[in-house]
Amino acid sequence: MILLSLISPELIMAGREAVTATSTMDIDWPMVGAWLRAALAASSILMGLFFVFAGTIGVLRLPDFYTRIHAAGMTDTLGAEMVLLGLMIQSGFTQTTLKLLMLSFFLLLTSPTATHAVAHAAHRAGLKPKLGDYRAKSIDEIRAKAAKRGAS
Amino acid sequence: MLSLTTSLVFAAAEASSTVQAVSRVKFSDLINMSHFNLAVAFALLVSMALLIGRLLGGPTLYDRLLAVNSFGTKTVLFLCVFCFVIGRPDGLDIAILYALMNFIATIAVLKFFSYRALGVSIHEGVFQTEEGER
Repeated sequence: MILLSLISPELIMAGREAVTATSTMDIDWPMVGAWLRAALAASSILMGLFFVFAGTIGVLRLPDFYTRIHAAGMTDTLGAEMVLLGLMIQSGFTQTTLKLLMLSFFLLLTSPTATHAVAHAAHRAGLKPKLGDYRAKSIDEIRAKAAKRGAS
Repeated sequence: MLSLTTSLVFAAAEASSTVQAVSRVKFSDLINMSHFNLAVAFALLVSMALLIGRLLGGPTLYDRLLAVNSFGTKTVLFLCVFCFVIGRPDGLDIAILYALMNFIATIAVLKFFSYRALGVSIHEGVFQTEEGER
């Protein structure tokens, strides 16, 4: 008897109203998903940019050719892949993502090969690595040198 | 009990309708990331401009080649990001083409400076050139 009294239509309708009131709370779910996607894409691209800049500064400041290869290879693989991954997250499941996938595959295949070819050619041509201690010039030394050059 | 289950069924129906709404709305209509992409494109341009320093002042040929190769990769990235900025993803084809051309150009220049000719088969050239000059 108690169960039968529970199945009254008024109670069912009341339950439905309560449920719809809680499930359609004022959360804009598409907007939340879009912000999550934007955050993922932005963080991936920013990490890629970090690697790109690290590689650039390494190519500029490392002492000799064989150490500069490390910096250049890092830029070409991880930095490029992470920037392309961020763009893929931005574009979603479209033809653009397919093209970006092709591009990242080609880059992943060709840039280590090119770096290896450059290193191999330099080694065959007899380029010797710098051995011994090395200290990079500090900014003050570079500035002093530039000031001296400007004065003379 | 029955009212609880019916309300659960209603809740499930509501939830599934929201999920469908999520997949229907386009991401680019909700959030416009073109300003962020523009900033990224400028950062890539700055990094390319820094690399020109190594390209002009590299002591050896191989330093310059390394800089050119890195510059090409950054150009490809810049093209991709710029396509997203202007909202026309057709330029990605150009980026793919540029990536392939960059690789082939690097290999061709290396081969030319190793053998002083592009028509040399590698198996002929390996033991003949410059091995004695070390």
